[in-house]
Amino acid sequence: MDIVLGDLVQNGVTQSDYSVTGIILAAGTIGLFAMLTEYVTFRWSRIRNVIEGEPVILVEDGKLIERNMKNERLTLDEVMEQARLQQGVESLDDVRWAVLETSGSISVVKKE
Amino acid sequence: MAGAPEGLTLSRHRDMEGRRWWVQVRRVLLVLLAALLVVALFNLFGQRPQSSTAATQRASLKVYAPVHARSGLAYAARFHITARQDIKDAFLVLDPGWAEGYTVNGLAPQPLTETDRNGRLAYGFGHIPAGQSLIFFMSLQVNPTNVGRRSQNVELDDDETPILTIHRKITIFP
Repeated sequence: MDIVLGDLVQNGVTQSDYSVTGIILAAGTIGLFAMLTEYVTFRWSRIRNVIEGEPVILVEDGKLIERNMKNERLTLDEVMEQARLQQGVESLDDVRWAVLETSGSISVVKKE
Repeated sequence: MAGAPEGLTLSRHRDMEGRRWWVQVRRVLLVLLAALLVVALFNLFGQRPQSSTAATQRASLKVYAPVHARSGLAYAARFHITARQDIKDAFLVLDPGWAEGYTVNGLAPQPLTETDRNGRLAYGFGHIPAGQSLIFFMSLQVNPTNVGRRSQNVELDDDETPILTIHRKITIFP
């Protein structure tokens, strides 16, 4: 998906400009915006929450938080897959916390 | 049961207090994106061609070309002249908007004459007998820097005498 999007965006950004100057301008613009976004999100937490989002708790003490699962369009299978991969847990009952992180990955903490 | 993992709070990250409206914002953004795609299907951003016609007792002219396009796109404009009476020296006179910010890839058939007529492009096709037609294609590609709205009027002349005019504009999106 990222590769397809990258290819599509490239056509719109550089179009038929094959010059080194064009590459520097396009890459510089994207780099500058990335740095600006980084600084703004570092400096102001409210803006960080808007741009990067906030974690969402999906499982608490072996119980699914159904409303959050539905809002994030996640299934139990996807949570359990991460629970098995990360912590080797076999049952939802063994999950203490499952959190949808701002990166899009699900972190799992198993019960002691 | 202990509290939430460090950095998280049950009220904000489990119960979504103060964050519930974000779901609505997300949905609105998704609807806006979908709306953008739907209006694109209805030719708002080009490049489906549209016909413009004009007719007089002497001749009729039909132009078939997009009125919305995006930079970088290639298309062919079709000009269909039908002579109802003899046209001794037919000229299509085009606004500069037909060439400015475009790459003209080709003209078919090649006009007999190509000249400037008071800042407009004039293509001469010679004699078109009454009842005969002439179809002229202009292959164009929109240059990336050609963004905005331009006039693309088309005038059909017999030598220097105007027979009819079609008023058109094209909007080019970045």
